[in-house]
Amino acid sequence: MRARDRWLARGVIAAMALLAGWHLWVFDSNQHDPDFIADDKLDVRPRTLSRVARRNLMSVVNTSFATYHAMREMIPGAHLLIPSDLAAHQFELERVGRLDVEVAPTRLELPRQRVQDIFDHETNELWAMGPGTFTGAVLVPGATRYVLVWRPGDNGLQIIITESRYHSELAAERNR
Amino acid sequence: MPISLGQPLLFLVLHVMGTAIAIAIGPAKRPHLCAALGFTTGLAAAVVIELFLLAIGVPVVPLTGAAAALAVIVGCAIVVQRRGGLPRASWRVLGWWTLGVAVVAVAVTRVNLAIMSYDSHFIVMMGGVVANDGRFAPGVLERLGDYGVFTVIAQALVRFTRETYLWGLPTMLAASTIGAFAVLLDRGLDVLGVPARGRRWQVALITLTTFSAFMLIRHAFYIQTNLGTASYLLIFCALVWLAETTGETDALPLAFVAIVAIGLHRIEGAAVAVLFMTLTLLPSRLPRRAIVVPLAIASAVIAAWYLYLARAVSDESEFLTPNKCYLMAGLPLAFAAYVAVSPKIAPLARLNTRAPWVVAIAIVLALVAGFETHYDLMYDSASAWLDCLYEAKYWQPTYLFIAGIALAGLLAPAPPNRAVFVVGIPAYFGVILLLVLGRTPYYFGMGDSASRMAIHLVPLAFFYFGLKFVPLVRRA
Repeated sequence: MRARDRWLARGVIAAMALLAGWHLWVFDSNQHDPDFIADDKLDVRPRTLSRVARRNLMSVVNTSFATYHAMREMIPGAHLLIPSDLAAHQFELERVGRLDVEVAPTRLELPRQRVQDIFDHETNELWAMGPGTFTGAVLVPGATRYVLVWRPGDNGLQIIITESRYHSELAAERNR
Repeated sequence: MPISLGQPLLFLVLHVMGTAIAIAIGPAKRPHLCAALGFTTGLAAAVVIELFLLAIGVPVVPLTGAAAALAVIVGCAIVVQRRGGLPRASWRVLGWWTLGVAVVAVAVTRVNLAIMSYDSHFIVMMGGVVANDGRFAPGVLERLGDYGVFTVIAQALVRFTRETYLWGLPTMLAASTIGAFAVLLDRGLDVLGVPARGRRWQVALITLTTFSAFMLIRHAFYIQTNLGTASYLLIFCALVWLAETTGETDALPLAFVAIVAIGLHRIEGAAVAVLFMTLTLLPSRLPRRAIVVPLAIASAVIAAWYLYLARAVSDESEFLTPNKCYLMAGLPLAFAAYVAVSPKIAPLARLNTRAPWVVAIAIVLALVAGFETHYDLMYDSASAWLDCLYEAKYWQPTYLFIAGIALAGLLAPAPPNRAVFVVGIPAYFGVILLLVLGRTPYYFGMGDSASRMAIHLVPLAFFYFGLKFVPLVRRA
């Protein structure tokens, strides 16, 4: 009985040694096995949260979350006017993005082509308020008041411009 | 002057604080054990202190944080001094451990290897919000109902560093868990009479086998709630087993620190804590006074958090609703009251000695009822979970091995006070399966909740296998 216990115990300890070897083999295969996606591999990642979020494979993380972090880095404390359609982002923009957020009662829009032109030619930061959207930010050094503007009838493309620029664009549109 | 530490220094401060607590309220005559539990105890203490300050409205800023840490360390030093201080040999041991922790803390914070999912990002984001605000700003509490608060508040310690998040924290926690596992197993085998010379390499082997499992390596870099739960569950069970087996109760307060951490780690944490306390404390032969007071304090801390949270979470939440918060608050409180009262009532005292059987029967009946009432949900979840554990590359072959050794173990004599392991591990499996009744089905995948929760039991299982088989190796 006692001899059997001893040999059983020795067998278990030997099996543990084999299992440790197998574990290390599985760990090694993690680095090149296609079963493991990039997010699951051990890899050196950026130390900055916004860049880590931007590289994440989950769309909410690499769009909304990354944008909140980027805003905090680029325009901390700025005032941002957002349309009521984006009110769901208010908490995160305020608490994560550290912005002073004001929700406008209506959509904030400029003519379709004007938004597209600003997005194409003046954007200096490309963000995304959510999956399937592009948010071009035209950041101006020293500016503290920004407005998030949409194209009429389109949620997919937005721009963030200074409040003064928004008003001048509106005035120019009225004069046209 | 603003206080800004690097991650290594923050981790070292947590270790020193935890070691001071362990020496003051724990087994001061065992400096290796106190130091091995230093980081985990310090982290748990920091989280509880920060939660307390947040709840009473004291802003958590570097000044209040540093003052709290200093107060704890100085307070512990005074307690130790009043007991006559520590022998020189203990200081030497603590010094070497501190140096070792410093080296590890520096090593694990050279490059960011952190793995992050949606959950990780959410946890880090909420931790950052708490860190920046230094308080629970409106809207924060209601968002904490989907995850345990422990990791969020631990991440909020980023306030004291220059980093944007504590990417080294899971790795540091893993390293300290490895140390705690090895020291606890070594102490357990010592208690069982295994000579030091023969046991050290076996402890090293079992530690390597346990923590080289792919899912444990992954969670050593993954910002989630699972590794912490596994770590504190191991610490609680091992410390209570040691106390029960040796009759020495000096380490029990540290076990209750671990219970608080388990209760706050995940939204079902309080129930898991009560499950393992039922298996260990009810049939215990330890003096009641060594159990009742720390149990009451730990239960009050866990309950206070869930009662505080209940004010904010939504009725429509998929996870913690106010009613579930009240349940999580009520469970440890009711358990503490039962532990205090039941020994005085003869039938209940007799029932307490059979608590492991009662738990086993209750879990089996609950599983039968679960399958009877929600067959598809339970079957699909059980099937997907078993596929994860036995077929998926990321788990294979760890659980096959655990199952095989558990079966082989039926043929060998067992160590004393084994109920916490032989009933606790399968019972927790049952609880994990039952948890699906309150949520969407488990699925086949590395990120699935049940697949992740399975890591909670791996260190515990290997710890038990060590206690069971190593003493037999040399027995003639």
